[in-house]
Amino acid sequence: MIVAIAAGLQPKLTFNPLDSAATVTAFIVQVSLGDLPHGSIGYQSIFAAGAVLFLMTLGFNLAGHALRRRFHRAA
Amino acid sequence: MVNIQSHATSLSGSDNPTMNVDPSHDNNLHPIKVQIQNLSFFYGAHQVLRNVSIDVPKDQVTALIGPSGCGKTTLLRCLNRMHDLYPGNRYEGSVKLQPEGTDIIGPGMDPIQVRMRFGMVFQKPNPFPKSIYENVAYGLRLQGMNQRKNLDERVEKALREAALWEEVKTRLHGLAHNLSGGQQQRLCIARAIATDPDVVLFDEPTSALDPIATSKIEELIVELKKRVTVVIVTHNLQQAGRISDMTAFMYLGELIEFGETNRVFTNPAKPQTEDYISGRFG
Amino acid sequence: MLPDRFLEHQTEMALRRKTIDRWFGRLGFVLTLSTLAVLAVLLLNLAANGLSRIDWHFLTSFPSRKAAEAGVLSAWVGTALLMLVTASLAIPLGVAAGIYLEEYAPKNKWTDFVEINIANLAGVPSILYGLMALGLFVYKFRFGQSILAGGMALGCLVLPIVIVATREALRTIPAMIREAAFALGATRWQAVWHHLLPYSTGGISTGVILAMSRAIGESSPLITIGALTFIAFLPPPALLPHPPFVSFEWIFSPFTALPIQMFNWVSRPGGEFQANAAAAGLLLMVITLGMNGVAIFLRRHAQRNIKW
Repeated sequence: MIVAIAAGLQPKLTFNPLDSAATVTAFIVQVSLGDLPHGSIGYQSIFAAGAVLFLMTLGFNLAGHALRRRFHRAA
Repeated sequence: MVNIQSHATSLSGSDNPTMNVDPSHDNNLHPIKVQIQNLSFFYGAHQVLRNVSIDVPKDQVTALIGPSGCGKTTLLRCLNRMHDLYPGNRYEGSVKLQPEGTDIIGPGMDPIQVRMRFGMVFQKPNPFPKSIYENVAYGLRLQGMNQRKNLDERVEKALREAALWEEVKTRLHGLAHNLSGGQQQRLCIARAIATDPDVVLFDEPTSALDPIATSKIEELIVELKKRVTVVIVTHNLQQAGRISDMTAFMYLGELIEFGETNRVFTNPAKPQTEDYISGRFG
Repeated sequence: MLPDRFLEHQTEMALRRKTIDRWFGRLGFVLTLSTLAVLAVLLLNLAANGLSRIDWHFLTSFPSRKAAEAGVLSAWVGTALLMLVTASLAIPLGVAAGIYLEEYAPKNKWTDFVEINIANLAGVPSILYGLMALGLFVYKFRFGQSILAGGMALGCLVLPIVIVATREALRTIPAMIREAAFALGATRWQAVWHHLLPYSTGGISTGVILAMSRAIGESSPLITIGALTFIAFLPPPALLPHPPFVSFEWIFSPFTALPIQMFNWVSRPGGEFQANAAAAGLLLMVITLGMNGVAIFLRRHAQRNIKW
């Protein structure tokens, strides 16, 4: 949410760190603020976005876990 | 509710099995309290005790001595099944509590019931961070005693038997941690004997204490043996010599020698015993 | 006698080591101060923009299209009720799970799996809890866009924090104390209830307050489940003047919360609502700092007699 406010909420694809962009979270928040009947396209797309976010987070967590395990063994 | 017979003050009766006359230990007229037969103990795949057999006499002090790692503490903790608290332990053989003859490590024996018949005093004084009164009363509460009057009586009795009453009677509800190390250990002894156990197990009880506190506790143990059977693990050979009636010398998980203390110390039968006692290794 | 050159060299080196040591100490001090400075700047910024707006009227009015008349009544009531539901979910479940995992669960692959999962869940972005609550609690269980759904979402969010705090608190109790209790014949539950829980209350309550502090500021899960931002009413009261005297209707009521109200005011074009947002933020900071203060007090109080 911090990022949602600070990054500017612009749906752009850009690698320039100085440009405004949106995060997955901000996207979901924007869509949720509007009307969202159960089963509509908007409804389904926020879940799809959420799934992507979850997989990314899971990937980070597992990588972190593996790294920690490797350093434990080394020690 | 305790469902095996609780400790009754019995005279050495004719229905108690007497000790086997066996060349590895001497004749002793006290009846057997704990009969350890062919006890082996495994921690996972690792065998820690090998085929140990000891007849612990009633109302006497039996000392377990030996170098570090010989298994004496492991043996002590088999008696009140403390090993059951951790995964991966296995017992073989039998440990029979006389005069009933119940096998403590038999299948189906509830470790909690066993622990209620034994008291244990640990190496470092470990009173609960509660009041002196509550420390001594806890074992009694576990056994269902709730009445204030009864608890008061038993707490006082236990503290007197632990030679601590005079020093704490005015501050029973003060914190146990405000006592000195020696007093805390005597509190732990009071806590262990409050429930009138059959046997009290001491695991190097004075190794963390100064000489004055140590001698107070040694006097206490010699007094205690009039009422309960005592098994004590000690690193201190002089202590074993001072206070015990029977001594068992262990090495690498095996029982090397077991007999009357005087005899074991002055005329050991096995060369390893002699080497250990004379300080050639330890 | 050592040659003078050698002694000189040693003294030089000793002096240099001491200087480096001293400067590192100073650097550490400055960096620590800077974290406090961030907190100070945050508070001062909020205060500068919003302090003037805080008055009795602000705290007891509903939001309004006119900035000067808008208030946070529905927002702080919503936050309070939300915290109530979150706490009643997260605390019993979290503490019980922590006790089970630390004291009862055997150490095998299954428990390892559960532990890894709890660590994962602690790192999941909060909006995903909102999505789960939307699909599961709002629609599937038909709780609607209510305090119950919001409270449950936040409860799930902070559950891992409570579990980990409980386990850490239990781990600080030395093994010898547990053995003393067991040697006297206590069952595992008796040891937990008579000794382990009472001695770890300090750590557990710290964890609980940390969890609540986290929950109180979360807005994205609430927005996702549809916590509306223009709520000009309060949920139905819990206490009734007539039998059955207690009502749970408020649990199913729509609501708003302080962070949501702030977000709404901040995202409005034009600057009239910025002061309101800052004021609401100040209120939120005060509540959070207050909760942390309570946590410190509870911890001190619980730990005062615990010495190993």
